Amino acid sequence: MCCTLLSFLYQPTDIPIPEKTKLTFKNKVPQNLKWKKSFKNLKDIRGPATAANILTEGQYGIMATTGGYLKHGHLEMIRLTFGRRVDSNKVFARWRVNAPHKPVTKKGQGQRMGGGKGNVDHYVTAVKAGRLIIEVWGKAELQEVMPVLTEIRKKLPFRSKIVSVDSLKEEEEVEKYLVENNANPWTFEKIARENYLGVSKYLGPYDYKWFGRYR
Amino acid sequence: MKAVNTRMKKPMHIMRAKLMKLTEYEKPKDLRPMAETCTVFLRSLEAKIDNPTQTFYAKMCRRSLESSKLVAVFHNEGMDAEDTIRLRRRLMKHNMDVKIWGMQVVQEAIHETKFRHFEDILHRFNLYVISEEPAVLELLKVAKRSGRIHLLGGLVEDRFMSPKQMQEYSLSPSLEVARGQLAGILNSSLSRTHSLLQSNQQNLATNLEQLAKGKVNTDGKEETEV
Repeated sequence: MCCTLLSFLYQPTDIPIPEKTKLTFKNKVPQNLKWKKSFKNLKDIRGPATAANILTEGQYGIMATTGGYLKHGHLEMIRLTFGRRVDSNKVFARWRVNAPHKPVTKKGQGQRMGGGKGNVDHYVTAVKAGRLIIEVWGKAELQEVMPVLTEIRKKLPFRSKIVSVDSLKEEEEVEKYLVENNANPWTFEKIARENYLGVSKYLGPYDYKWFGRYR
Repeated sequence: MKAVNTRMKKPMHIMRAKLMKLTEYEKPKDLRPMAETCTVFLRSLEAKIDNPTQTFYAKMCRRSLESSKLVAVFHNEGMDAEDTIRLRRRLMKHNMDVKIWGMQVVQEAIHETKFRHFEDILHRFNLYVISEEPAVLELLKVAKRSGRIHLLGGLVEDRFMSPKQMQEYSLSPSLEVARGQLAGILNSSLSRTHSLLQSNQQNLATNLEQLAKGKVNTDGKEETEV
């Protein structure tokens, strides 16, 4: 039994309505391909995202915490769920990932090994950790769009989190605080750089890039 | 297994795992004395935001407190809605009203008013009874009957009272009877002074009388002897 009162503070609602309020359809197969087949190129999903890692006009969003591939089906799932569950006159969304462009090849069922690389089966979008998938904004609070974002998040092929402008700022502050107030004198960077106990034998090239944060 | 594999990551080499463990974040030692760390919040309290709803309720609360001659503060020992309705119905017969306000609302309402002494007995589970007449006896009877509320204090005719004082107040007679009693006390002192002033003379008179009687008796004896 705790007696508290809700705060009905006035919140500004002068958010401009964009031209396209809904998520747009993304093509399943890209046009004007340079190459038909490509290498696996795992570099695409490795490490932190350098692009689309800050909210631009959105208030909330879904951010990937690990790397992975988005298929066309995932993009459709996001688009349809959002269109179904949210009033497009009030809440708007925007893509922060491109349409699938990376070919994934597969060999037919029951086929023996050999005979070269298989045919292109489908296309995927490579997503790195820390990349935003969609951005959401409008006349709604985070609590209102949380169930929709959670529903989407559960079906994504990689781990993700729901972020807002405030939460991203707070995260940044926490990270800064942890670096400044660390009682441990030993850091990964120092040990790796100075090669203590010949540790370089067990480290890969990416350990010298991200110092134990990503693998 | 590949290092980037999203399903299952490649297990670390034991030396790298050791390195990861060694370089974990460590909380700096808190140099403050233990008494301070136990009492002071580590996290800074959130900045207080003005809540118009709360201010409105506080205003209403203050208005009803100021307009009543009797304000009693009770501890609410888990009264459900049904009990509260029953209590309210019983108190309504004596023109009293039951109020349940939040602690923050009351704190804001009584801030820098004559009710500020209530702050010591305020807590979350409070129940307030207000009335325009100081009918303490009826209130105490009803409260005793309900059994789920306990008196913490009150304000009767601009006077703060503890539960014991309120009990005594309730047993005191009405104004007319009290006036009569006062008149009796004043009369009694008057008559007493009268009697005190006369007592010496009366004593003397009685003593002399007795003495005279005694003398007569002794004289008679002497006469008989002689």
